[in-house]
Amino acid sequence: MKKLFYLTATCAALVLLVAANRSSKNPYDLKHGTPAIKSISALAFGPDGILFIGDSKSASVFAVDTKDKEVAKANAVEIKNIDQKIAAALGTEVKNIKIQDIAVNPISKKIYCAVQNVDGTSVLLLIEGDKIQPVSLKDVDFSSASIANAPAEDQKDRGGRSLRESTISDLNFSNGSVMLSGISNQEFSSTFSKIAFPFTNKQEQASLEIYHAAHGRYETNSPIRTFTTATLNGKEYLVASYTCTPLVLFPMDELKAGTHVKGRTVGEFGAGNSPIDMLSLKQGDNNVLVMANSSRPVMRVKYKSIETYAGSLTEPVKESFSTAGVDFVTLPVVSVMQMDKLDDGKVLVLQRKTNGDLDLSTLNERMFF
Amino acid sequence: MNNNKKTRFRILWGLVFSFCLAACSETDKKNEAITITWENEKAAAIFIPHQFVTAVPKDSIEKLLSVRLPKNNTSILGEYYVEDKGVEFRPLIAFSPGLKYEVWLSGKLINEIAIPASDDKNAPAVLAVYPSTDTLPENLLKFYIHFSKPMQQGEALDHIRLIKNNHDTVPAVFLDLQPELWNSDRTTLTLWLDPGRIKRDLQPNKTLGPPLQQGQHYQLLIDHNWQDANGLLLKNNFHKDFFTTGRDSISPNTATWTFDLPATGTAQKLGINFHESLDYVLATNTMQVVDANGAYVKGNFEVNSNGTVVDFIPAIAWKPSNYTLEAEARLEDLAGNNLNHLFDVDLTQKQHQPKDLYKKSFVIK
Repeated sequence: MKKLFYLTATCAALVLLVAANRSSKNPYDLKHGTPAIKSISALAFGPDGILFIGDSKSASVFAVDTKDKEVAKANAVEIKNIDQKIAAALGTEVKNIKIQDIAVNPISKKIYCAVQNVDGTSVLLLIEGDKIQPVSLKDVDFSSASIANAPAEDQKDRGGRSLRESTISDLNFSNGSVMLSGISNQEFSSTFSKIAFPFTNKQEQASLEIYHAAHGRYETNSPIRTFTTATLNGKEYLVASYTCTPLVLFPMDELKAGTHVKGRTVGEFGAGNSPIDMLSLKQGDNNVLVMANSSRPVMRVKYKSIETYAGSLTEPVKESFSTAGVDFVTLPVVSVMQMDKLDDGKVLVLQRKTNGDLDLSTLNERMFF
Repeated sequence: MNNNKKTRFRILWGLVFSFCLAACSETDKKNEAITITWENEKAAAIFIPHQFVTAVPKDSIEKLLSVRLPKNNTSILGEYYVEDKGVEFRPLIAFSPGLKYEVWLSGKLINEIAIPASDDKNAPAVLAVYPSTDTLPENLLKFYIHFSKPMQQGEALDHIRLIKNNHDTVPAVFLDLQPELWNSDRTTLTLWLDPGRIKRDLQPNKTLGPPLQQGQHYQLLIDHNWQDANGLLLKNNFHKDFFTTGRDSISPNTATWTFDLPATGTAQKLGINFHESLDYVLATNTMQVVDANGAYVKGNFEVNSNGTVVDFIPAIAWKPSNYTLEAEARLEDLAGNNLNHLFDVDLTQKQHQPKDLYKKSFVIK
């Protein structure tokens, strides 16, 4: 009996020890402290509620553990005049603030919102129902990585040449990597960085210039404006839109450090317009790409259409303002400025209404499937 | 006056004196006002003296005290710091110049404070627009707009227009890019003309045509209703007038550049003449001077206002030796053609092998 007691006690102690070890284990090599974030240009969520913050000013990406708790279901969000509510909470006027990005934590379904004040101060807010709360970035678990191609500090003095500056145009996480597109504010180019997460000291960073073979005769190097990822015919692709023409596919496995990859243009969605945000939704076997546009309504493209569209657009579209390539559906939703997935059936949108109001609202799955 | 009367008189005077003292000290207390804490010329916090919050337990300050905008029930986000002489409230972002704020305690308005508006004499101005020349190619790719102060981001296209022949506003001429392209201190905006309309054969080019047409007069207008980081509007409207010439379809070529050589033993400038206007910003930060040992020569590059000549001013005197000027391939002309390739490469034409650096030697005698 005594032996059984000791055995049970030993087992219990071992279980506790293992549990303690597991809970204290830091799977993403985060450290505790205050990240030196200088600006919040873009937001994206990774695994386990890790929030990635793209910081153009310090040419870095930060990973911050939100420690959010998992909830089963996302509720639809409807908040009218979100800009007025944010301005009031910050003690200022709407004209002084700009909503830089919104991102929904896939675990907690909480809405994170990056706002910039007119004086350049960036703040991170949490929107829960009608409540707006600050997200403290002091004393958090975090890690960071510099963005590829940003020259080192010591290069500033090298012959008097100044740092190259670029602006993060989009940020995503997929399949173990953080991906960023950055547009130079000097030469006409962009960089695309793919950084493995957890970040390590000796990380492999891929920096690419992406060329776009346009209509057979002219080849152009064009900056990426927004992108997402998708699996097509079992292979992972980068789905990107440019500053000059819309939808282009790149096989992920071809995006390697220092390479120049030519994308395949699969769709043009009309002149005088360019996509400003995109995301992928999945329901059963149906995958769709959702795009918000600068001067056209939100569009939905079935990835099956992209999978079966084997060609590449090589001829100019004949009719003015017409479209070409894969089939798409225009949704009755206009002037969407930001969007993110609430879950695989709902999309949160920041939308300028016809009366001028800026509302946060939800597009339901019947729009997409 | 008998003793009783004297005593009563003294008590009366004592009471009057005490009352006056109390009244005076009350007046002093009332004069203790809420003050603004300025940091880097921003109203970073307000200090609420103890007299306003005496009845509040320290641990309830955050629950009972709130700072709000007038006619608004929303408590401004920020942190409260309880100190010996009162409470400091530090909002998440600095208080806005020119706005009034109310301090509420337990549902009652206890005081208000006005943040002074920024001084108009510090209003921002457009210092320059590059390219500065008044004749530009019809396939011009971008403008740089230099401001005297950090500006508000995100609304450039609300304030910038292009007028053709003093008459028509050219629609959709600039790329609506969010986030906008600013330098780190937000004093220089890079503004692209819609590249999709410049690139030959792309759909926007075919349907809308190029943004600029040859042989036309244009005016770039920047309206003064654009606020800077302190909420001040531009001092004046700004305009840049220019005329468009033909398409620039030739990449910059280092072989055609010429040097204006300095004398040995001096720290005179080295002149590099491109014989055409190149990108004003890239012209100063894509080049290096390397000595015969392969070491970078320290110094500064300065470009003339029309981007045709760059001067290199060395930090030390030149030696009689061979030197090399290195130019990065990303150096562009006004049409976005760089040292390696044209803005839109014609695949039917033979291309030369791209390089990262282009080198041009010179000798100081």
